[in-house]
Amino acid sequence: METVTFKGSKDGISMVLDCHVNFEELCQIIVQKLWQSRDFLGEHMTLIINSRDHLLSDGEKLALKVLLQSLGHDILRFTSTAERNLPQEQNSFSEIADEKECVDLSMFEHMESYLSEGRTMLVRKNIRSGQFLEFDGTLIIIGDVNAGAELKASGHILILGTMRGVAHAGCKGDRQAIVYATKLLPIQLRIADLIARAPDDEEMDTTEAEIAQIVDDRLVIESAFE
Amino acid sequence: MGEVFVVTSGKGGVGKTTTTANIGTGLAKMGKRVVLMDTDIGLRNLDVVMGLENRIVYDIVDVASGQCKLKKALIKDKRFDNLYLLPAAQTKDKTAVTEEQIKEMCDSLKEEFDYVVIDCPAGIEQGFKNAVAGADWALVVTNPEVSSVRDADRIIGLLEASGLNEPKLLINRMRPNMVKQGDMLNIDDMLEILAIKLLGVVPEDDSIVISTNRGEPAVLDDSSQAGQAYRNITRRIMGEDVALMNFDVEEGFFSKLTKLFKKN
Repeated sequence: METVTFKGSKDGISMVLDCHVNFEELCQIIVQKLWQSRDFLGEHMTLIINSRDHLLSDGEKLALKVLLQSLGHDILRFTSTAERNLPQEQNSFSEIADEKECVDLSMFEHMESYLSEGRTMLVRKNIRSGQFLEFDGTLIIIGDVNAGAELKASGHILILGTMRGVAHAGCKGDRQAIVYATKLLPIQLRIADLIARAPDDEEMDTTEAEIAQIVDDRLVIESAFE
Repeated sequence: MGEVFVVTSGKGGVGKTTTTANIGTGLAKMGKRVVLMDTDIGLRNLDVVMGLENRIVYDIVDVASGQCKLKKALIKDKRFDNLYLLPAAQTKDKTAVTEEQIKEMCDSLKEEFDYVVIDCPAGIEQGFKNAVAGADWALVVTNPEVSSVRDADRIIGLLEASGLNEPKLLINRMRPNMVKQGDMLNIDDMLEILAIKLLGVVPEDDSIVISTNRGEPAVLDDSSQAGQAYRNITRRIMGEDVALMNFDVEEGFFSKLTKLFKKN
């Protein structure tokens, strides 16, 4: 079967995902599919994400939500056949958001409010040394950002690829902004008024997608899939 | 009042940035207050060679355009408290600053620092003109090869035209055994063509490649031959009289043997 397919049901339109490809690739295919079928599906959809037998992590859900919202769509809920076997599994954002002890999800709330303003720029190319991208809204890069390149956005910055350059999210002072990358190895990161730089002596490396955000007045980088 | 000198060459890849980093660090190690200024806007490297890339927030273009004060853009070195870097911008080009602006920065920097060392971009266009605008004297870097010497000669002419009359020469990446075999220009040949004062000769050295990639100038490495050459050059800039290093190659067993037979 195809990696991304759309299905209609009585609840609305489901996007059925085959999660056997890696997540970055999956995101790219989703963007492509939504773009190809924009005349047919419309520009503002509320989708049900069906990940079949795969259970999406919170980080993956977050990345998908940000990605879809940035493209003008919204997510009604996540479902999967894997979840049905678990007792009382939460599968909708509104339900989960009520559970205050769930740390990750408070993030979803403010992101929703921020992203409802909705301006997003999607760039599909590698950003090389000396190139500078600035956008008033959320910036999504599908490709790598090399050392010497600079990104600046008043909203979030999401990189579906390797980030080796300098990124400044929330550049107009929004401390809720995040920087997400499949491989986050930046020379320097800035969110709102805070700056963090790469360590001097250690070689940076990471095997998983990470999110940088401000927690208690400090810029922290954490795994996106915890 | 300090002095401002520009490290230039015309040709690219001869070692301007490496020289700037090493001499600047060498001067700082001797206790001088030093600023390194990168004027290679759009192709900056000095920050990487110094290992300070991750500290850059403001750059020379921000200062020129008045977006930040000169002092705020200076990055303190991680090894020496008396060494600073004014980085170039990477996302702009050479036309983002003017000669007057650079001159103004140099004038205000030399009031507070003993040495301002300017890393000049390759070429003879706006970037070169900017770099030499505020300099009191110039250090021309060349390699022992014909094309590099040709470009150095062109640069010396341009420097003289802009009033920098007595440039000094640094011969970089010298390979003594190749010179000995006659495969490389020797020092005397180059001095005859260029007719300027020789400040020093730096040998080709693998430790330069290693130190450049690590962001640690070779001048701090006591075991590096190139580092020793840069330390000598530093002392000459400070006015000391230091003899040129002797690069005689160790003779192999066979050449010694042949000599022995020739004697008899």
